[in-house]
Amino acid sequence: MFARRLRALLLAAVSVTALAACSATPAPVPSVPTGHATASASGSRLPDPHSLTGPSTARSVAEVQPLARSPRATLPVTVTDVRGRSVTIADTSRILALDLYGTLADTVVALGLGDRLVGRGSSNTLASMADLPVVTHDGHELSGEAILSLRPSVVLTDTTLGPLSVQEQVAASGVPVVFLDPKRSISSTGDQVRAVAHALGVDAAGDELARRVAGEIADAKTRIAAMAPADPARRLRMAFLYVRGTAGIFFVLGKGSGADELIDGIGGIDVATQAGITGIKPATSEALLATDPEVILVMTDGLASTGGVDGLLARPGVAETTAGRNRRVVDMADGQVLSFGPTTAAVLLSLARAVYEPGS
Amino acid sequence: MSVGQPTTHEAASTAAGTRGGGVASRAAAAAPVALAAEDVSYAVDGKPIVHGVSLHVHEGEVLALLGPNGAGKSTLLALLAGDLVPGSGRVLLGGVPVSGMAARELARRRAVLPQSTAVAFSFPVRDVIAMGRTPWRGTPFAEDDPAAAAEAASDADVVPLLDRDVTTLSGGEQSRAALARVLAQSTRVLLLDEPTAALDIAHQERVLAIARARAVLGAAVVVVLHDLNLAAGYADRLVLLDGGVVAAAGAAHDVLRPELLSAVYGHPIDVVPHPHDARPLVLPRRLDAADVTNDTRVTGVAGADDDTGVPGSGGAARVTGVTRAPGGGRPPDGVTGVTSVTGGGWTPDAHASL
Amino acid sequence: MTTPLPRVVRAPAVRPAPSVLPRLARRRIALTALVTALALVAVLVLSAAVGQFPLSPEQILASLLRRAGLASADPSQAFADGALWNVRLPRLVLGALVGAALGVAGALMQGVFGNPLAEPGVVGVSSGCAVGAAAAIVLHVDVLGSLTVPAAAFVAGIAVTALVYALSRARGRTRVLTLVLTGIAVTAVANAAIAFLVFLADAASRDQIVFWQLGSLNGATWTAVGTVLPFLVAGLVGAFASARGLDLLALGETAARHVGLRVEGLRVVVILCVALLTAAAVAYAGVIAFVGLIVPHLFRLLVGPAHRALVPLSAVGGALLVSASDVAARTVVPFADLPIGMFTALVGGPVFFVLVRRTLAGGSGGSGGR
Repeated sequence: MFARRLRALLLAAVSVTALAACSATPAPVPSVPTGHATASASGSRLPDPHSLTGPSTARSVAEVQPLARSPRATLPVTVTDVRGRSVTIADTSRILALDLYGTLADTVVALGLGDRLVGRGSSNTLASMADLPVVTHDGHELSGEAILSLRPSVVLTDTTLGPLSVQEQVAASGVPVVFLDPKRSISSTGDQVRAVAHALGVDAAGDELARRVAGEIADAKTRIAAMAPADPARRLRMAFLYVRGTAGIFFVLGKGSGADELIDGIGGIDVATQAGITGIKPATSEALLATDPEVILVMTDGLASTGGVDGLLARPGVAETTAGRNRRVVDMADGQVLSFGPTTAAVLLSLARAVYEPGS
Repeated sequence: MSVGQPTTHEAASTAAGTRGGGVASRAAAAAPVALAAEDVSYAVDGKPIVHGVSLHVHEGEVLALLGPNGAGKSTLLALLAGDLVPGSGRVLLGGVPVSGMAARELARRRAVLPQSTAVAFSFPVRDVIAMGRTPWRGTPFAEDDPAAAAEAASDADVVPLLDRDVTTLSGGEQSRAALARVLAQSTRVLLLDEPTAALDIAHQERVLAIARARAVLGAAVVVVLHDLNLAAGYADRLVLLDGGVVAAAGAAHDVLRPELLSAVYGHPIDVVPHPHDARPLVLPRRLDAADVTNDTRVTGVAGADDDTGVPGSGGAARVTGVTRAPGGGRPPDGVTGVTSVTGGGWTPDAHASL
Repeated sequence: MTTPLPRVVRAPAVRPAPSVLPRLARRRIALTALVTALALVAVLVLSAAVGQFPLSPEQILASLLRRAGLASADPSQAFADGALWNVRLPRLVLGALVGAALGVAGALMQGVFGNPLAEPGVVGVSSGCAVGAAAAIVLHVDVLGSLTVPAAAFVAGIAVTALVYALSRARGRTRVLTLVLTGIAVTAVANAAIAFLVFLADAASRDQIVFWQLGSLNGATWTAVGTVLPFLVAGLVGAFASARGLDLLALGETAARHVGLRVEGLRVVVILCVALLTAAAVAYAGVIAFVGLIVPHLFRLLVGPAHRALVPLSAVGGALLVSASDVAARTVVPFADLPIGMFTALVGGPVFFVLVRRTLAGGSGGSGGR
């Protein structure tokens, strides 16, 4: 449920930075941190992660790869969606998949149905979807007319976009609207994939994709294990901070927020969870000093909106942490870092690289 | 009319009242009582504003309420109007207690001209006058609306202003527009709170002449006035309030006595007969600049305040020879002879000379 | 029965009685009403014709005919029908209703406060309604079905309107300064309450509040229209019934009572109506400020302050302003749906400022002209 809180927070924040959210912000050029490289020349050995300083940016993950075989849909299919409504889908030739993170559209693409997508939300930044018309404005608000003008045969969505009555308008116009679970986490990725596949009548492809994603995540974790310190006591202490603008939006993400799974996934210690912080709590200077992270994870646009690393360090308590003293701030694209879709494995790897082998 | 009045004062007032201004009063005394206050008291936060006042206003009579600032004139008028509910005692309008009367019924029986006559929105004057006809809506008397409004506008001298925006009028014009509205209401009781305050001399005289004219038609008129000479000139009865109680009541000659006025107002006041009609003419003495300050640049006497220790008191004492009871509204007993003002059983019948 | 004082009998030749009764500016009122109504119709037609779903006038006409049963069904036009009937028409109808509600609420508040600055958005009534709506959403109150949220907004609206009234009035008057400061205080408290409710809310409710706080007609449904309508009708009926009383109230509370107005009764009716109208508007469109300020003010300049004309004209004018703002909100920036409040505030802010200046300069410390 705390993942939901974060999403709600994102939603609120997006409405504040609506215009910024619409334009694709180019990722800042990663600055190369300096570290006491013990054997940088060898190439195989990484610097001691505890000694790294300076900020780094995780690379944007590659586009999701569709399944090799085009799936065959078994239609019509009747599903009971997450709101408990029974929806019958008879035609998947024109699909709209809309959520705040873009996860649903990613999943449709991964299932091999990307060519059926007829529109996108502003958070769908895949190059293959760049030419599709946008049906959201202000980042997360749907437009009923824009949706209907695309003549969709099915709409997959969740409550992260709205207002709810827009989806109801679309449903009232005779378009099947399927609400999916807005929860995002590493462990729920497989279920998410299967639910999308089921609604599109491609259960077999869903199983296949879910297996693939699970395999990729397992593989990524293996590779990350090679980067991260093996000794649990030597693991990096990390905190995921949610920062937006220069005013009050400054939170630390704790247990159940999704950030805990993310940090665990890249072999770090979530200091917030360790300190007993659950969900999303204001990042007070006391909380920061008590947890004292070595690495601070943030969202790229969020970091930019607060004035970059300097802006973040100017917030009370940040500069006094180990991460603050070392300017060890790692950022990743807002739409990717907590999306937990079919690209989860890539996200974990990209973030792990930014943390353990910056500049590689 | 009748007013609660101290017994010690009766002889003097009766004697004084025989000289003049009593014709209309005698006529009115026989007329029915239109409005009566019976031992009315009103207090705010335990502080009495009006205390034990009784008075009767007859049809065909103009009654002036007089008194210094804070004497309780406007509060008494509000009690008579039914705006305030007396703490004790009661107000009867045509014999019916005001407190139980519906707003509309009250509005058909009495009209009130308040001190503040500003209007919130830019209504033309004719609309404001028409508002005075509201109580008669839905009755046969609504037929009189055009005539009553026209008459009221004409009486209050606002005909040239009929299409003006009431919020852009001068204070005096606004006051006349409000008077026109009150007159248009065509009630048998008129309560006017300082109707002359913002008016020039001609309009002051006119307003009180209208009050008299309405009285001639049978109205009972109560008017709060600061100008004692206007009261002497137009009212059948004068009621002088001081500190919420009736200090004196009766015809002009009974009330406008120099020693009484000087005591009540805390200022030396002379009363002389008017050269035209021998009505009392009230003349406050003028003060010197030195009476109100002890600034040596004004007084020309160095260290003037060393003599008394109280700024300005030397000058005031020198001129008036009368000092008011400190802190209290009541005049000193020795000056007015007023010892009690409660239990007003003083009626015109008992004092036929009035 | 109580009878009036007999009138003075005068010789007509001496004092010809002028016609003093109000000359109802019937032609002026009729002309203003006609122009406003035509403008509203024009804006509504324009509003129906523009949008992200491309619809030609022929398509709209055909769709209207189909819906009226005058043309045969056309499956190929299903999306056009959907866009028109489920998205665009409810939106423009709801916009007009919300505008009418806010316009009348403004006229009523200004009348009962005797102050041209009183307005649901300015004095905090809208925020108060928002607290009620947010509470209903967060606490998952669902006793009245789709009426729950507007009903909760209404209850909170009554409380806040009565509170503002009690706080901002002293001795029967509303001083401008007190009124504006009360509005600031009430809005601050209401916003704090909403912030707290958002804090308490679970994810789904929070999403709903965030969307709704933005104040937009996006997502208007016929259900919303059907819910707002009875509130608006009740509020309008109450407003018409109060019109004459509000005229009298311009004399001041005491003087109004002197001419037979039951001030307390009028006050209760008006406050109920204001709460009804504001709640109906806020429950579905969020806080759209200044409509109730500009519209009655403008029509008062055009047809005078008499409420029998002002109330219905404020309804039509409010509908016009919000509908026009909605067209602008949807079209000024392509594919963006800007907040309507942005456009009403664009006009309303300066008007508000001018009014404050004028009333403060006009009266002694700003008695609001009363």
